[in-house]
Amino acid sequence: MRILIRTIALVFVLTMQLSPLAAQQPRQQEEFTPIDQLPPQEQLPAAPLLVGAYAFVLLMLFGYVVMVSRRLSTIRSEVDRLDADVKRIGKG
Amino acid sequence: MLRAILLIVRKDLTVEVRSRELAYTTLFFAVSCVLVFAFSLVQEGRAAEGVGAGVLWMAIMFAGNLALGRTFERERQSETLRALMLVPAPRPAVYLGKLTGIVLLLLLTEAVLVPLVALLFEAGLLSHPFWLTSVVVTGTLGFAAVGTLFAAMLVRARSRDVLLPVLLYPITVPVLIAGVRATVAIAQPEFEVEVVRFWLMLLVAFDVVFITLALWTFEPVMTD
Amino acid sequence: MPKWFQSTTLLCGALFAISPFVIANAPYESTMGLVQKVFYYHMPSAWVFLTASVICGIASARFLATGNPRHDRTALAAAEMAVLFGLLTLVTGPLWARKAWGTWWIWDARITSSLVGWMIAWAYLILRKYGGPGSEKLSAGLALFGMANVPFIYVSVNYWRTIHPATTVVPKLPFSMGFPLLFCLTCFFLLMFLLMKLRVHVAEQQARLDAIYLSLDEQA
Repeated sequence: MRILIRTIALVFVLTMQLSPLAAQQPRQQEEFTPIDQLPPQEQLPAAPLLVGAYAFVLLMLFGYVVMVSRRLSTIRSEVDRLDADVKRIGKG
Repeated sequence: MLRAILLIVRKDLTVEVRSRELAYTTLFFAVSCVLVFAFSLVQEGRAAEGVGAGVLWMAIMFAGNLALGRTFERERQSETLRALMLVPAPRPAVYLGKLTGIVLLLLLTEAVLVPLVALLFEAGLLSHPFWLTSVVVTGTLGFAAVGTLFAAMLVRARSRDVLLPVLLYPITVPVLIAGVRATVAIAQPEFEVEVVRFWLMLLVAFDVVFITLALWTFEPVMTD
Repeated sequence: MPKWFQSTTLLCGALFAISPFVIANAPYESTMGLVQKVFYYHMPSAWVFLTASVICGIASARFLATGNPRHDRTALAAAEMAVLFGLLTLVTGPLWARKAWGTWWIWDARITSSLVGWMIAWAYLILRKYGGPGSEKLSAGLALFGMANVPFIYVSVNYWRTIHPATTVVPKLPFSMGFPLLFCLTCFFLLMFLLMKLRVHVAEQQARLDAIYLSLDEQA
């Protein structure tokens, strides 16, 4: 197990160090400009990426809510069961 | 408090000198790490460009992880950690004592690693010994500061072997990045003091933040 | 659960349902076009991630100082939020970057430290789950280190040359883009608040259950 963890850590750190860091000075954006303030540009086929991003977000949020609600109902039924048991033992 | 720290360090040194287990195993492991990297990264008989710095710091982190685990495992087995906590010295002294021991062990390992890496990877690491020493010492201190705290914390936890790297590596990634960037800058043929100094300052900042945080959290975390 | 919880949840759901329409009405950005609209979900996710990390750190500090389990439960809920919204940020970001910068990932200061911060939150949860008894205090210690990472993430973009948009972008947004952003920020922060409330409630119920089992053991 220890060796597996070490190997994974090694791969992680290795890829971090060996990826080519950009030597050029990247252009940084200082502000966003709405497109209608500039001459018209053609449509960029970015729809799959956009839809994918939104779908991922909504799916993950929904999945988390489902997970937590299920856990809550398990605990609630467990508590109810124990309460019923305690009452039963109390009476009998 | 200084006396308490020195006593703890002396205790660890005495135990270590008798068996030399920790020093030899850590050293051997670090050297084998470097050899593994050397064999994996060599292309056409020469090492890949600029990986010497990365290899050095990776070896330090892996060897450090091992050393931390072993040091506190030893404490756990002899139940001396509990004895240490009962000592009428301020708790931070226990932490600083263990930290000093670990740092000494790692510095010893690095004294062997640095020339080895410089040799195997043809890295110009030894061209500016003063800067390299400063970078290595501050980086090791930052790594060990976090590592000592977490290793001590995990002594009584389940799955402590696996959890130490899981906790330690994400937190010490900034130290790793700064250390590697500084070492790369030192190994460059055109040496730029400004760049090295920048990363060194960052390492010192990390050291200060980590040691302060560790001193604050050591007591509440170690008491039940 | 308090009475207002259900109605607020419905409100939040409705706001989220409306959000795509609000975003669709925002103008396209000049250089990035359609794909820039990921921004309206990506940035609020990032802010929620950072806020959750800070909340986790503060709650952990209070837990270490006072030992009150309430703070511990808050810290746990906040860590789960950080992992969840951090994941959303780290996935929507590359999807946007692929189109805008031509690459899925770069190792710049903000993205790297965000990844590291996310892994720390994840390590917190792993420690809680597998650390055995006493892991609450250990993870609290970890969370403090994680919180120290957050200012670095936010500010790094201004000090290191990087192609990631700077923090000056948001204050300079025109209203046509600022409004959808504010709308989405409201959605996300409201959601974070509700999810945290729910998660803390679950933790409280779990604690109640554990207490019942303990008392049963003692009686037997």
